[in-house]
Amino acid sequence: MLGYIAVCDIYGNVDRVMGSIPSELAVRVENVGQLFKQTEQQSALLEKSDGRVVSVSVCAEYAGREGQRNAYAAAKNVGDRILFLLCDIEENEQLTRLMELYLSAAAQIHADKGKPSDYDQLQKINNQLINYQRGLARANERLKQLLEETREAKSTIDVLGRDPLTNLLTQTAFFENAKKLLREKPEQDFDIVAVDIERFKIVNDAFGAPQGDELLVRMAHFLQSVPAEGEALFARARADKFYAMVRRSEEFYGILRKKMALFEETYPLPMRLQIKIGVYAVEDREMEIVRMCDRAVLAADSIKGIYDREMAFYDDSLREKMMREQKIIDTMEESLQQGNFQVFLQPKVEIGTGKLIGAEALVRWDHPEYGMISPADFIPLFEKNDFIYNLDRFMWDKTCQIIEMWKNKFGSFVPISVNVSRKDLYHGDLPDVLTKLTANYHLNPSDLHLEITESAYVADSHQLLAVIGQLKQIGFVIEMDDFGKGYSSLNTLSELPIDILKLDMEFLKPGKNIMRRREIMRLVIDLATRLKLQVIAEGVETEEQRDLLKGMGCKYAQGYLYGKPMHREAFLRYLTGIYA
Amino acid sequence: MSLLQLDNDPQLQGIANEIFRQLFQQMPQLDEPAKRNIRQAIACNLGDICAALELEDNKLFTYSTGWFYRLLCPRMPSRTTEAIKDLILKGYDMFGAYAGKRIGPGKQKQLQERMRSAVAAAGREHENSSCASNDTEDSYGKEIQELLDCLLSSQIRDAIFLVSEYRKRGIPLEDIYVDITAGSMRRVGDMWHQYAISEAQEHYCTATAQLALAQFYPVIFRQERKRRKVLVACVGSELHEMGARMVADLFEYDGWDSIYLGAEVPIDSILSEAKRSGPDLLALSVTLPQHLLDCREAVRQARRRFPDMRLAVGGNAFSHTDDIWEEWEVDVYTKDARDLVKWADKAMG
Repeated sequence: MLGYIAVCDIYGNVDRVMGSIPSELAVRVENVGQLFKQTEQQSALLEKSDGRVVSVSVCAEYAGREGQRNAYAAAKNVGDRILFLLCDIEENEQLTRLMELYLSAAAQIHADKGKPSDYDQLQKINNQLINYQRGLARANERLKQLLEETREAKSTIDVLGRDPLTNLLTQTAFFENAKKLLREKPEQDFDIVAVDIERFKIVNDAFGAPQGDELLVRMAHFLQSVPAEGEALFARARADKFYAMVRRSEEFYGILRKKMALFEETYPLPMRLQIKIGVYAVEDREMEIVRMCDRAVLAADSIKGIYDREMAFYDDSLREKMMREQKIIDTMEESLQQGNFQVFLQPKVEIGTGKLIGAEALVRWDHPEYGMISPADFIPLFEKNDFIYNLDRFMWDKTCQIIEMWKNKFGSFVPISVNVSRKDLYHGDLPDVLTKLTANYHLNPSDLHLEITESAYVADSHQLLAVIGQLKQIGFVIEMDDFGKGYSSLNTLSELPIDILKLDMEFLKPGKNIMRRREIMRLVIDLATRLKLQVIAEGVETEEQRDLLKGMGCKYAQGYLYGKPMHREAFLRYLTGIYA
Repeated sequence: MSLLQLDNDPQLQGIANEIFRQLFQQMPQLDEPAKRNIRQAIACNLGDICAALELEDNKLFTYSTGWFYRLLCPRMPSRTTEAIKDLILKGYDMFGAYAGKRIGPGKQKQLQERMRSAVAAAGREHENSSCASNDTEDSYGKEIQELLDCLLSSQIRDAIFLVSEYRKRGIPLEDIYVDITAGSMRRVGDMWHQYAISEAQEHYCTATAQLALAQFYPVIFRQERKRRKVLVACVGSELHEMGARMVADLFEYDGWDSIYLGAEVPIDSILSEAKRSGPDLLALSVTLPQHLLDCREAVRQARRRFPDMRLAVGGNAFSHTDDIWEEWEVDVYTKDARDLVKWADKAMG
């Protein structure tokens, strides 16, 4: 029998033998044409490839013992290939074998149809996944290494770091070196010193950045020139803040004070320099250096704005003060909402008769945790963080309420003065706010006196002039508060449209040059009178002071002698006593 | 003489199909996956002996025959060993007729003698040797068995945990790779060969083992760099790339930068990458003997193009040859990745 199933191209070249009987056909036949005795038959069959079964003469080589035979062949196009079949059986029993051959071929074709081993495919995919994971892990570690190298490089730069302007250490380098110094010299006591140039921004603003830089450079030289025993570290922490770490020594601070005073006085700048120094004595060496520096800064900050204090030493009370101040700030808004701020009133009287001529509205804070807090503790804070405007508006509103109520009750009433902070003056809507307020409560603007502290005038007289001018025009009465505490010039006094001068009795407190100060006070009262300004002496506590003021020609006073600041209910009773 | 590769030679494919057909007649109980499996084994075997003939390596010829014989024995339990040997010889006769045309009548007789003695040797070896190969030679026998138990019982998490435990116990990473994991993979391969596990199980074990090793990647890639580069690839249509990946991983662990191309990498691609990246060492891996010819060609071309580059070869295929690499222009053959890293460090500093 003959049985041959193969896949070939259009020329008969065999790609694959699916089965052959005898088996040597699979080996020997390279082109199906070899099987044909007549090549025309092969050509015809392959060209048509329509699956029709035809009879062909088999080549003698493969014909078997007979040497010549006919067989049946068919060719069918399958894609770009041809499926070729050739068979012939001599007896029916061979049919079984032939059918087996065909079934085997069919099974192969079925198995081959786009089905490579599933497991091989899975393994390929798995390999790829592992390779991707490997690639990602590699990239990830490379990235981590790069980041670490960058961090180390940055750290190295920081450790060696010098401020490019002053060549002092950078803050980071200072912290590292200070920590190292403490570790290396356990037997030695050290102090951390914080140095701050007050209002440095004005130097930059008024004289330009080069002047500002020059000041910083000279400051750096100055600090390094102060002789310090043993190791010392100096850093420019930021902007105009300097740190130093020095061996503890009283002598050092004595020299520092003297040299600092000379530096301030002789520095060639058309403004007075004010440098503040805070010192923290290192006790707990395990504390972070940054915290030590913060404490030194706290000490420096505690004397900010205080003219005659150039150096302060940290103690725990400062920290407690800081914590308390933070608490105040944390609770101020809530307190305002909840009505913990109250209006207290202190009477202003005519000295000779004791007649009530007015009152000053003063704020008191009944803090839910700390109880009554003095305005000296929270007003400066509120002025720093601008909450003062909110508080002042509250006070103005409450005061107007009181005036309206008492006007309605008593038919007429004395004016009440309210404090207007320097910060309030920078609010462009201030005149509108005050005008609307008085209108809401059916008051005249002159019912609400505005007390503006003397220091506000000094700060920015042009701005102040404009706003006060507006307020005066509207009809408000302007009082200059705390006259004598600051350094207002004669020019300021002549230019500002004030109506009332409030003199602080601090000026007459016993001390140096008291007689001189009394004469000056007398002159000021006289000057004010000539300028038709009302003068009220503030802080009158004793009869002796009263008599002194009377002798100077001062007609009006405010102080404990005439009444402490009292709650509105108490003031009402006070008033009832008067108006009864 | 150059015998064509099985993939490209339809006649060789025809022979493979015919051998399979005859075998299948003897094993009607086989299902489709098993049939496919055996067909692949036949193709693989023919590929191996083609390579053995081309390389003129008697040891490989004998090994390939023995491998095929040992594969068939457990799959044809109802047949005697003599019957199996006859089947193989019949198939080899067909192959001989095909090969004879190419190698010439003089060598054809030699080939047939070789085939007969290989089949006889395979039978003898099978009867004399025990089935558990090299178990007693493994230096981490206990750990290998532990890992194998996890792999065979499909406990992926346990397998991954176990491998990490080995490291915590202080076993060097190289030993985890080369001795424990590779050792357990060899046993998995043996078990499949012995028909003790299915193809599915064999692939599952491989995938799990790869996953278990992948957990070390953060450690492997974190090592200090040595500014040395190695290019690693599997030659030919290899699916068995774990060995090559182990080489790449252990070099990375040693501080080298590795360029790992994976499996089924054409020779052109290997050479092109070598030109681009300029590695200090090119390492080629071959698992199946039929791919040794591709490897030889890759070595030849690489040596011609990069005369100064160090070339290394390795992989399971080489261990069944008569040290065939000695005739190639390679710098070294090592039996495992650990040895190659040691050699490279010594040779290149």
